[in-house]
Amino acid sequence: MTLTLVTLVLVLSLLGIVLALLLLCIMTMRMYREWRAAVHMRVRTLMADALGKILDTQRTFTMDERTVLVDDRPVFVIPKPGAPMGDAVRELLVDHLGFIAGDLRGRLVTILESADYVVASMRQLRSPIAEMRLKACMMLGGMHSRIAIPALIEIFNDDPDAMVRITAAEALGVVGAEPAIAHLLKALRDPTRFQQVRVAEVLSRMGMMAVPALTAAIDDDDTRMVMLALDILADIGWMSDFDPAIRALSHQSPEVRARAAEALGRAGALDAQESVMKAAGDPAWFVRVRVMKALQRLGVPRDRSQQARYLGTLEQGLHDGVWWVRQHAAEALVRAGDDGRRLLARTMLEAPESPARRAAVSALQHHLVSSAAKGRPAAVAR
Amino acid sequence: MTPIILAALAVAESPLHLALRTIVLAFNDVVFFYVMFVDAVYLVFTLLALAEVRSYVRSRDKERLEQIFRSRLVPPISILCPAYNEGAMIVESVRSLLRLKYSKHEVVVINDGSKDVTLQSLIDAFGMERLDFTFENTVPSKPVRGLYASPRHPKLIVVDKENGGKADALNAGINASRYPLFCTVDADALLEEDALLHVVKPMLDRTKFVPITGGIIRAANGCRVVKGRVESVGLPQRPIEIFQIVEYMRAFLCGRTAQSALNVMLIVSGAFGLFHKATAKLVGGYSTDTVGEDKELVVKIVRYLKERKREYEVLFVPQTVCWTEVPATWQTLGRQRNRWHRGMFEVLFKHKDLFFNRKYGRVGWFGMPYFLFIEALGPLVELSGYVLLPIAALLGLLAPLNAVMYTLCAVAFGIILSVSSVLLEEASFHRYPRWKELLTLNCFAVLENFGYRQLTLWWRLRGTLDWIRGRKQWGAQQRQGFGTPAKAA
Repeated sequence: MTLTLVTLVLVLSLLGIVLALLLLCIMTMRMYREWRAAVHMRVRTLMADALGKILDTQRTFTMDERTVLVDDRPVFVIPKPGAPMGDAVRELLVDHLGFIAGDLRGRLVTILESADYVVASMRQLRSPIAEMRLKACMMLGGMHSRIAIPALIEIFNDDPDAMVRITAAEALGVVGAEPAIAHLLKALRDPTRFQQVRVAEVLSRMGMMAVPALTAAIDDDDTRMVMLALDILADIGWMSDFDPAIRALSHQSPEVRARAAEALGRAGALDAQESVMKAAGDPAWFVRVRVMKALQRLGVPRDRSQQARYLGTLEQGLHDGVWWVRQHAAEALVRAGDDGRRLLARTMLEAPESPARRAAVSALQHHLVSSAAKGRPAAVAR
Repeated sequence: MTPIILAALAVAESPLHLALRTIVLAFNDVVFFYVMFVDAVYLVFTLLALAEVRSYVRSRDKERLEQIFRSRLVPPISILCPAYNEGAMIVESVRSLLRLKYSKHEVVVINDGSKDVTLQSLIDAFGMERLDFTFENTVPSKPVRGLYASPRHPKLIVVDKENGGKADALNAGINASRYPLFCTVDADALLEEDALLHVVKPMLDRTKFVPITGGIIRAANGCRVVKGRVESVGLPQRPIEIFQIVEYMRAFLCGRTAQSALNVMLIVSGAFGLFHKATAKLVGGYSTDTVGEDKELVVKIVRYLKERKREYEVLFVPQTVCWTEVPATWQTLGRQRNRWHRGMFEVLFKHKDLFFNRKYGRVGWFGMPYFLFIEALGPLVELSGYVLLPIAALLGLLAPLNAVMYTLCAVAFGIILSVSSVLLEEASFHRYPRWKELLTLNCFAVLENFGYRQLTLWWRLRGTLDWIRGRKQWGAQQRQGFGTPAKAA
């Protein structure tokens, strides 16, 4: 009996100690967080003035080891990377790098490079912990330093962790390295969708630089790759070489055809209008929906002979068996000027139960309401 | 039962007395070790969750996530929002759902035969028009009276159907939705603006198939809510609500995260969950014959995939995605817990063949037994301990001091678990920024083991009895509304 009691007392004391430790842990964590926030705040206040001078194009800027010199006068000594002060400085500079470009960006990158912040992150790329390497890739992307490109390419090719590899590809894209495009396209074939989306997003941010590689990818054998390339091109809104996308309008996969129509519409590819109109008879309804949307974006052709064909295609869409196609055709007609609205008004004379009539009425009503809301008299042709 | 025991014990040194004495003492030991075992399991869960949550927090990059999900390449999501007599708040809820950050989503509101102005207020507010076509009933649901869309709000669809309950409404929503993923949301839940981004991510970044994901649901009581959005987080005044906040932290942040790490998660809350539509359709959608339809769908999907030997993961994101109003009265809370427990028993009983079945792997060997022996039967064992321990002490079978020590040990372990969940919160998301809130949470983590825990056990036991009696009702919840703002943080 006594033995049990002693054991219980011991267990209870142990539990009490654990509880006290837990509470201590919570309090310490909260205090550390508040102290860290205070340090960050202090650094921000201290650096605000210095940053104003550094980012003034009228002044000269140089670095002497860790000291920032503006007009040959020291304005700030950058702390060593790693300590809370260093973290705060890096965070602040990376924040600014997201918003500025050109020579001023170069100044901040120089600070990060001279004060060993880039080297410190590159060292972290060799950490055995995947999360640390991931964080390092993110930081190097944020720091926009070209020094890191070889190290990032190495990580992209050899890292055992897929997330780290893809983050390295992203960082390469953010640094804006043209050689990175080939690696990014390679990464697009990655098995997980999220990683594809991440890389695609980087490529679309690279803009025109990525267009040649992407238009070439439309002819790829892998349907998934073709779809991704078309989607990215649609985001970029490219200006020339529409032929691969026009060819994709007759691809065997309806998903590809739909994306091709959308990409051409978003790019405002007037050269492709004829081909897009031809695609209005596609057997897949969602392709027809995208074609109607694309035609709305492309607008009424200048050529008179083409105009009649354009309106005829939209009228065909207005009488489609699928609600979404009719709705988008009607919206395109509302935006097709007097001729389009006249066509809609004529459709209103059809039998009341006609689905085309309902789409026309709804589109015109919406047009009237939005015109009235904008204070403009609605133009509905008689 | 107790009077018989007492009568038998009154006759000292009789064989019956000796037998009962042995039984009572053995049972006390069983209960004590059971409680310790359960707490040890929870402790392991907490440690697992700590590792998971820390790793999640370290590698997340919120800003980047928003950028990525602006891409049109992410799969579109249909949000299913069943509504029954929600006329007062449905328009505001739908507005907040339409505002969510995601490249492409639609909101499907299912008016489940409401007797109030739910449908009309949607028609008026969003200019809905009745469509002249309907959809194929791939999962069974009550007849649909009409389908509405709006040219001005192309993301919104309203399904008007005959009343058939929440599960039936969700089935109609699955039929009407257009996109490959669907997310179920309660009409009164407040979603974080980036909720969809966080829950869809695991579906896209895993090489294994992820049919279901869920996120943390928190209690919105005490928070400042402006236009359907939680502006600042605070603690409510009423103790009953604060107890639930600690409880939700423990259940979601510790429990679900750990279950997800072990890939044995069998519960995704009905208030917010993301599902792969084709798989949900293959298993026949939601079952209408249970009050735990959300749990049941998860078990059905897991079972379906296991039977076909498909590699999968059911994942939980330790990120807050949804805020919900928790019951503010003891009566409503009791009804809710009763319903949850009945639902759990219904699901366990319906899928009893999964237990210890090699075909279902760790779900059969750990997931299901965990829910039966720890979650479902827990109240029965623990409460009988609370009854028998004092009896044994009173009758001299156990030294009173020992009885007190037994109780204290169990309670201390419980306190450690509750405080650990506050620690986990502080180490990860620290949503309660003020010192006063942190101290209050710690106090309530201690206090919940003196009365509140026992009360929830009692409600859950009642739920068990109601399940045995075959009770099916949901029980109404009186909502307080999100009108009580906390002090700005």
